[in-house]
Amino acid sequence: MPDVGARGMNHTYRLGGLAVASDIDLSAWIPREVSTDSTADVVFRRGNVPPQLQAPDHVAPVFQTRGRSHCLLALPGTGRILIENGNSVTLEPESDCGTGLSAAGALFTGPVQGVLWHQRGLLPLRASSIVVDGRALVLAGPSAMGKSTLAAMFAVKGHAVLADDICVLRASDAGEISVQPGNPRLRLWHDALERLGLSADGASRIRSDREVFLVDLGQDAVHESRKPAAVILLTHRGSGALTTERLRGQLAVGALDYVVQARRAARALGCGSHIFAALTRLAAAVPVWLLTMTDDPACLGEAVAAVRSVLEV
Amino acid sequence: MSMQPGIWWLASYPKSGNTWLRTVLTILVSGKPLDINDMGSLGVMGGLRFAFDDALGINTADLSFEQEANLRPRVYEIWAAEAARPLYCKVHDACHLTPSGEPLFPVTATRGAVYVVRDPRAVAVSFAHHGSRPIDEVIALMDAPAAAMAASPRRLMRSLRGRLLRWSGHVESWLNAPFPVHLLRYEDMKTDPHAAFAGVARFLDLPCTSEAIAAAVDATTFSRLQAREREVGFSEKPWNSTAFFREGTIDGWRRSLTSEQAMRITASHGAVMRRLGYDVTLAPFAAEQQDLVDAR
Amino acid sequence: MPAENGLQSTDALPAIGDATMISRSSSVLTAEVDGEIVMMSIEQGRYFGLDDIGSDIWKRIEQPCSFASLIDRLAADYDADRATIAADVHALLGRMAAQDVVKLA
Repeated sequence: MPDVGARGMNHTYRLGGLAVASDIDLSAWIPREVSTDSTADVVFRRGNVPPQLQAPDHVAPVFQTRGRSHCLLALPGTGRILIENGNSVTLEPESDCGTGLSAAGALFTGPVQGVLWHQRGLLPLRASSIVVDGRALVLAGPSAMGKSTLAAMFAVKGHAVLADDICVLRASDAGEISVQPGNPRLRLWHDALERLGLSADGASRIRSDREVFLVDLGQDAVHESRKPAAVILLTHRGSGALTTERLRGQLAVGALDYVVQARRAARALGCGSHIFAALTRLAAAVPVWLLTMTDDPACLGEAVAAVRSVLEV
Repeated sequence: MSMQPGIWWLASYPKSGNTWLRTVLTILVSGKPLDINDMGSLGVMGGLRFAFDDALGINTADLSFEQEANLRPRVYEIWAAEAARPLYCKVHDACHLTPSGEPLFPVTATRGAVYVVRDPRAVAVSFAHHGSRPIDEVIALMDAPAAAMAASPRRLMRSLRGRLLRWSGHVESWLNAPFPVHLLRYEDMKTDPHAAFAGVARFLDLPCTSEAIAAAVDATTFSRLQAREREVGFSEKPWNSTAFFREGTIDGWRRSLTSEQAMRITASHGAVMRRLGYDVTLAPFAAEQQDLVDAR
Repeated sequence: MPAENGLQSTDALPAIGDATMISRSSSVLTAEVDGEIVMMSIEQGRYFGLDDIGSDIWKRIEQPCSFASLIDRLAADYDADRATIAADVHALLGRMAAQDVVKLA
């Protein structure tokens, strides 16, 4: 990937093992890093984004793609985002954003990040990750399954947060998988904070229309990638007991496919074969578990215990 | 005919018998014995967030309620286009327009709807138990035009926000829908289930024999469903309510509502109740006892 | 035997004779995970897997071979009569061909 000139970019960060330069302040989301180098791997900027791509290959209600290199996200009410070549993200926010999602927030939505990583040949999952015994525990699942809340339960016990909401996996040339450091701040809603006994004081509120915050639980940031210990897929049932089930083979791979970030856009971008290879390698390398939780408040504590016990197997 | 793809909405105000309809339909459509914890073969529930995120390729959690609502018709169009067979999708939303002015349930993706309705006095009692809420709170909710499910700004819900309107408004919105709607009364399912479900099967173009319907009716009596829930649990029951298949009677409300509560409901919804054939003069049992006492 | 009339379900078996060449389709990706063969249809993006016997057959058709030679080799390794094996494998290959996992020529 050619380096992208970053002159004039005021803000520099490290994300997923890459140097990021931005003219939008992202420091509410990821820790700032001072960089003396003027080159960056990825550039985020505010700018004009056309309403459609020229000659797109794939047109869907909220995104379009052309080849592997171009993806346009158009969200009425938020803005338009163009993701190019795995190294450039341009945002044109709508002036009157009803959600109060900041420009930085729009850049950190799963699909934007997801497409960027897919274009770079990495595997982004819808997951939060915490460090247990030096390895990355990947808590994956669709929205609202409690990934960040469960990660917070571990974080308050002293485990470092490797990434929240988007977990990027990289395979080395030798085929070894590592989990990259991402956003170390947990996205927690008011009710989850209450359940965890935490306060929102000092945390940044990321939406004006909802009570959701980015919370720093105080551990040192993790700068290096970690090998994965296990993938725990979170799902939900209304009532009954918490259960864990080991998934293997086709079931494991199919379930993992479901939690790939920006799955549809990635297929449209032609990443399907790459994702298959990455997921089968992941399922062959680490145990994949299905953890089914309920809304019972006691369930969170039980989930932590259940996860610890499957790690010991 | 029935193999033409598209979506049949299984619509109702909450606690009106939608789940019962789905148990019967699951048997009729799949031809297999019923597993109450595996009714997904009918079609995804029309408001589950993960299905929307997957179809759109974005996180609906990052959107406002308005943005979410405006995108829902696009998802239904995708489901209808990608399905190899008809889908039967449960929804509790009123049949309303999105903020951008188009029908929430797009006409092009829709084959029609079965709308299940139940006496609102019974709904109030059932809804109160289901959500562990006081009956008075539920009666007020059923009369609030802005009532909605999954609308809290303080937590991320697994379902998208669903606007209910007032109970009467909900009923009228579906009866006035721009596609064929089959009205199914809970009370008719109870008193003559064979006729009720045969009518539904005809409407849905399902070629079911009389024997198949009789077998489905037999497998889904209230006591059977209740017993099954006791044995294996029911994944759709909220964690803090005692049982989903709780009482299942037509007139149990007459034991549970005060006459003041019943009057409040008929005052708010009497016109629609009469239109649906409900007797608004029926009083709770306690009130009748009092009348008898007063008359002596 | 192919279907007699036009109103036929997709369960109709394609014609497979002794000389029919069985080969792997190039429109699936495969990987082995936990001893299972996991596959993805490139065009549809769908994931599926093969059971034990399907996995065995898949391994054996790495080089295209005739139906007869496949059955010969299976009959040598499995404890069942040749006719039963041939019938079962015929049905399985029919399903695999319908999913575009194998090619029948």
